[in-house]
Amino acid sequence: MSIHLARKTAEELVARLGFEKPPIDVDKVARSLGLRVVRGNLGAGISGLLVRNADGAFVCVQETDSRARQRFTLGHEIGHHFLRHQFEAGAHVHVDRGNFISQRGPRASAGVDPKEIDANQFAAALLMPSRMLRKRATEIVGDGPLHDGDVAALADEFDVSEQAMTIRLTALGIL
Amino acid sequence: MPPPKLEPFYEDLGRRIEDLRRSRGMTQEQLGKKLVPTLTRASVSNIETGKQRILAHMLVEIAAVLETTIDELVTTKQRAAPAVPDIGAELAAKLPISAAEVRKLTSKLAASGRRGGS
Repeated sequence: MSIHLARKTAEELVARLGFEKPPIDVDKVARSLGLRVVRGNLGAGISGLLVRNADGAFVCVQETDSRARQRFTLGHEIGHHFLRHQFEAGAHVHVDRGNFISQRGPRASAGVDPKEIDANQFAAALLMPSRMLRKRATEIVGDGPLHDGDVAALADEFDVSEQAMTIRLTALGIL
Repeated sequence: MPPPKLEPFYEDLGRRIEDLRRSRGMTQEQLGKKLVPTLTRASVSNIETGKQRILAHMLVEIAAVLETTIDELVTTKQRAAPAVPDIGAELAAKLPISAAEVRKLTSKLAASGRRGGS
């Protein structure tokens, strides 16, 4: 699956669920897809799990992470689930370590599992849908440039980290 | 003994094919054209609704085009059995947490399953 398709799939999902303004209720997105969400201690360096067993599919989110980080993790795991990523045969648990927040470009990410890149792109587009984000950015600064304070305000509004917001704005060519 | 009903098997197979096709962003026509030999949109539609039983080589083709395995597409006898795999051992092997923490996590998972995901 191309990165473009992962983003597009997430944007379509947001539109289909009828979200009109930020922040996106990512727990609600999970529930609407039949995914159960559990928060717990997953151990050092682990950000999230996607668990599939005969009872259904579950996401476990690291409870010690910041709220914004937990939201991104949940978006990432929803991405794995919704994009129907297949992991090692016979395994029921897919483990994500805490290093996926930096969404490097496709060329810089050689060696990284494409499924992880897709899931990141999905999470970014899910939490910061392009149309919603462009609209808010325009309302804040018109045609002018965004400043650091604006990025922080947008991050706050969309309930994501400033880092995730900066990467998303750059990817969309707004910053 | 009457022969087992085959419809549920093909309906289930069709649903999986349809779900995967959609997740790949493909139309029925696009999927049909990618198969060798090709299938018409109507045939793909009939397969997805379980009305058309497919040949073994076509199953291989469809799995390849949808970038999945045959195992993911078909309902095997093991899958139909109501076995609930024990994921505790897998969690313990994969996570840097104590056995007590693993038990806490598995009971949270079980509880969330009982609540129906709310």
